[in-house]
Parts: sequence; structure tokens; C-alpha cells
Amino acid sequence: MTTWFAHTFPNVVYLGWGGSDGWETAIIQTLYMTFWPAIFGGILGLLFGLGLVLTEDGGVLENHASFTFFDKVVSLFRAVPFIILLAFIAPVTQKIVGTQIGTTAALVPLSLGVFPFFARQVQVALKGVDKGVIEAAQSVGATLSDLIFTVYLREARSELIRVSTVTLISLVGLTAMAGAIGAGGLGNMAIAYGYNRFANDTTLIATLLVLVLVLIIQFSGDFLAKVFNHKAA
Amino acid sequence: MTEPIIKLEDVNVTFQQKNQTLPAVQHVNLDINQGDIYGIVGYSGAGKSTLSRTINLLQNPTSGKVTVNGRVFFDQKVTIKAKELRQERQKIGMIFQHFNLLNEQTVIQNVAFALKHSKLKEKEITAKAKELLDLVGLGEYANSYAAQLSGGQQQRVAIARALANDPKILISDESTSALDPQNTNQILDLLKDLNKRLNLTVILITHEIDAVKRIANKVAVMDHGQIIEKGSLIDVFIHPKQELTQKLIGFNDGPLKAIGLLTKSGERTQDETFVKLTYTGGEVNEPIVVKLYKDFSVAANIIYSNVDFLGDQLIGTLFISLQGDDANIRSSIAYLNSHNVTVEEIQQGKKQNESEAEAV
Repeated sequence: MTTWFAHTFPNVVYLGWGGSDGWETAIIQTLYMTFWPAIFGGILGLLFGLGLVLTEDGGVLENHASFTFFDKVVSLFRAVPFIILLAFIAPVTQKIVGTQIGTTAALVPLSLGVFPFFARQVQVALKGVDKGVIEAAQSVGATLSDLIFTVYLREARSELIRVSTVTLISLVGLTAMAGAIGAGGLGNMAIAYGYNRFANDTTLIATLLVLVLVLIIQFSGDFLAKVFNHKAA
Repeated sequence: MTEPIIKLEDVNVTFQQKNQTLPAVQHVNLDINQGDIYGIVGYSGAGKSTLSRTINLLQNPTSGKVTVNGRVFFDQKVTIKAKELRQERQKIGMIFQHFNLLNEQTVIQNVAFALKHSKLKEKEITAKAKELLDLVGLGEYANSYAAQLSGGQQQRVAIARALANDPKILISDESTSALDPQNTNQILDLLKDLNKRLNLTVILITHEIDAVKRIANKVAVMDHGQIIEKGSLIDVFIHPKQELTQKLIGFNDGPLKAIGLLTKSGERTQDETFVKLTYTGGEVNEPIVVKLYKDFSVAANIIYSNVDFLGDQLIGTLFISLQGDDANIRSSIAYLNSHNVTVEEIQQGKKQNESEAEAV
């Protein structure tokens, strides 16, 4: 088995498990670049998504100026291709994390790259909450925080889990590009150590590992969305 | 007379759309007294729901004055403060066509949600929510989710939620329109029962005239944003003035068609007088038809008769043709009038045309 593997995937074995070029390092880098932007981008996206729904025409906090602000910011960041965003915001990255290259430097553009996507998804999920339910809550004297936490976020919980799953998966996709600013990760493994060196076995294994990560996210997301759904099927 | 619990004065609501203004509610004046079950009927789009939403300011009026429980909620452009409005809203329960329960909360949590801002402690909230569920007969479903209940049961939960803060007023916005007839009647009877037991004022928004007939004591008819007719249920039902009201309650439909057909077929002679008799329950004990023949020599031929219930009140309608000489017919009509039977003579030609128009 081991010999068969060493024989079929020589370049994979050559790179080793630990060490700066190793698989373990690449996996950890990818998880690291998925986890923190998911947190930062997630919070930012949730805030913007809520802002969009609350301030829209007919919303609970209807306010045209605020809505336009949220809407334009989200559209602007969505319009910039991620690979350009990586370079484009380098000065900002420098200010925030003190460096423009490396895994940590990638966290800033990844967060900013994923949040507008998530914000739109959150917007759609929250808009799915029946206006009548909001009205009913208001009619029993609900406060703004009741409406946000007990009605919007709670009622849309299952849908929010679903869109978070989609967002996380697209975030994993974005981490593959972060290799461009020396952030490493499985994407970088597939391109820099695989494709660029004509080591197709490395590309294949890196891709499979990304696939496994995506599948784990998808299955857990689906499972949680189902558990937290009490609406009629 | 005591002050009405809800007073709407010249209330207008207009919706601004891109190039046009849509008047949804126009110059509505309405006084609703404590303990009333006030039916507001009309076809879809008449402005009933919009009007009802101005009572708890889920919809701000464009102009007018809204006074509820003696508090001015809205006067021209001045609106009550948000915090006060929240407190006042707790005294106005509201139920909806699609129940609008929180799907991700259990039945008891839905009721408890309404009590979140009451002065009660958490334990007391749970106890009260349980009590309310027992009141609507759903105690055993406390830990179910809305999706597990039938429509009628969901509406009961919504009623329990609406009653959580001991409101004086309950607004029912088409609350039975999505239910089957049996559930509809159960919900209506529950509302009536609550009205009696808790002296709850109910505003019953509906397009189902039967709902109003079953429980309301007053009724307002809306069309194109205006109230075209209002008054006590019995008055409006016995003497509907507006054409729309007559149409809505199916007034005279059957008998007029019958009279129209009879006169058209040529079987009837010209010396017949058609009259409509209306009497309310218990007032007529004597056999009218026999009496007319025996004492007045007037032959009465029953064309159509109907007995209807308005709440607990029985309303009888009788369309008859009278044959005999004129003087006798006059005195028989006088006799009927003196015995609390309302007699209306039907002008054949006119009504015939109407019934033909109806038939088309």
C-alpha cells in the first residue's frame, strides 16, 4: 500500500507532511484562512444584511439614506474581482495586520471579499421572514431587539445556516487564490507545487483535500439547517 | 353616553406609488364602544385591513385623529411616542388571516413572547401562557410547533397570544378567512365567548357576511376606502340602504327572482299586491296567513320565506302576494304593522327590472 502510494504519487510524498512545504502546513493554512474570514466576514455580512432589510422601504427602520449606503458598499465590494482585491487593498492590510504578504495578510482581503456575498445572502434569507409575523410581533409590543433577535434571526435561522454553508464553500474557493500574496494553503499547493512543476499528482491530491473540506462543510450545513427547521416541509 | 373605546375621526390613508397616489382609506369616522363586536365588511381591496391597522398604528394615517382607550395615538401629523405606543399596543390584541405565529418557537413560547415586556417574572409568564392556552383549549399542545397544528388550532394560539396582555380590544383581521366552515364557527364562537366573559371589544374585519351575522352587534360596510353604511347589525340587515350592502348580504335576491319569474310567466293577475314582511324573533305568535283570510278576507299566498339568525336574534322574512279588495288589503297591512311586523310593498315593475338585471 505504502509503496504503491509512493510510486503513484511521488511528488506528493516528496513534499512531506510537516515543514514549510508540507501537507499539514497547507491544510492548517487553508483552515486558518477559512475560519477567521468566516468570523469577520460573517459578522460584517450579517450586520450589512440586517441593515439592508431593516432600512429598506417598508422595513422596520425604513431609512432611504442608510439603505443606499449599505447597498452601494456591498455592490462596490462585490464588483471587484477577488484576485484584484487582494492587491488593491494591500495598503489597508498593511495598516491592519502589519504585513502585506503571508497567510495572516490574506485574512483582510478574504474577509472583505466574502462579506458582500454573505450580506446579499443574509438579505435574501431575512426577507423570507413573513411580514405578517413581524406585524404580529409589533402588535404585541415587540421592541427593535425583539424583532431582530427573536423574529428575524431566529425565524430565518435555518435559512441563515444554509446561506452560511454556501458562503463558507465559496470562501474555501477564495483561499485558493490567496496563494498570489504568498498565503500558502491547499490552493497554492495545487498551483505552485503541482501545476507549475508539472506534478499532476500533487494537484490531484490538493484538489481532493479541498473537496473533502467542502463536503464536510456541506453535510454539516445541511444537517444543522434541518435540525433547526420547524416550519412545515 | 360613555366615551367610545376607539374613536376614528376623519381618518385618511393614501399610499404613494411612483406616479400616483392611491387612497386606501377616505374620511372614515367610526366610534366603537366597549363591549361591541363591530363587524367591518366589504370586498377585497375596500380598505378594511388598512383601516384596522390605523387603530394600533401598524399603519400611520395620512391625516385624521385616532383615539384609543382615551389616549390620542395620532392627531394630524403628531404620532404617539414609540415607547408609549409599544405599551399601548399591548392593550390591543390582533389576530390575522395567516395566524402569523413564530415558526421557530413552540406554542407556549409564542404566547410567552407577548408577555416579555410585562412586569411578570419568568415563572409567572410561563404560568400565564399555560393558562391562556387552556383558555383556548390547547393546553396539551404547549410544546408543539406551529407547523404541527391545524389552521384552527394555530388561530387559537394566535388568540392566546393576542390576549396575553389582557387587552381591552381585539382586532380580528380576516382571522377566519383561511379556515374551513367548522373551524370558522368555532373561532367565531370563541371570540363571542371572550367578548361576553372578558367584556372584550372585538373589531371583526371580514369579507364573510356570515361571520358578522353570527357574532357582531354592529356593522360598517366599506367600499373604496369609505364607510358607506354603518349601524346596529339588525338595522343594517333589515333596512340596507346602499346597493352594495344589499348585494353583500344577498338581500331580497331569491324572492325578487321568484316574483320576477311569476309575473313574467303571466300566471299572475294584475290585482295582486306583493309585500315583504319582516319580523324579529318572538314577536309573531299568531298564524298571520290564516288571520288575514279569516278577519280581512285577504288571500295570502306565500312566495318565499326565510328565517335567519343575527347573533341570537331571529329574523323572519316573508314574501307574500295579497289578493282581495283594496280596503281590506290596507286594513290587513295596518293590522300587521301594529303587530310589529314591518311591511314593505314591492313595486312590481321596478323590482322586476332589478331582478332581471340580477339574473344577468
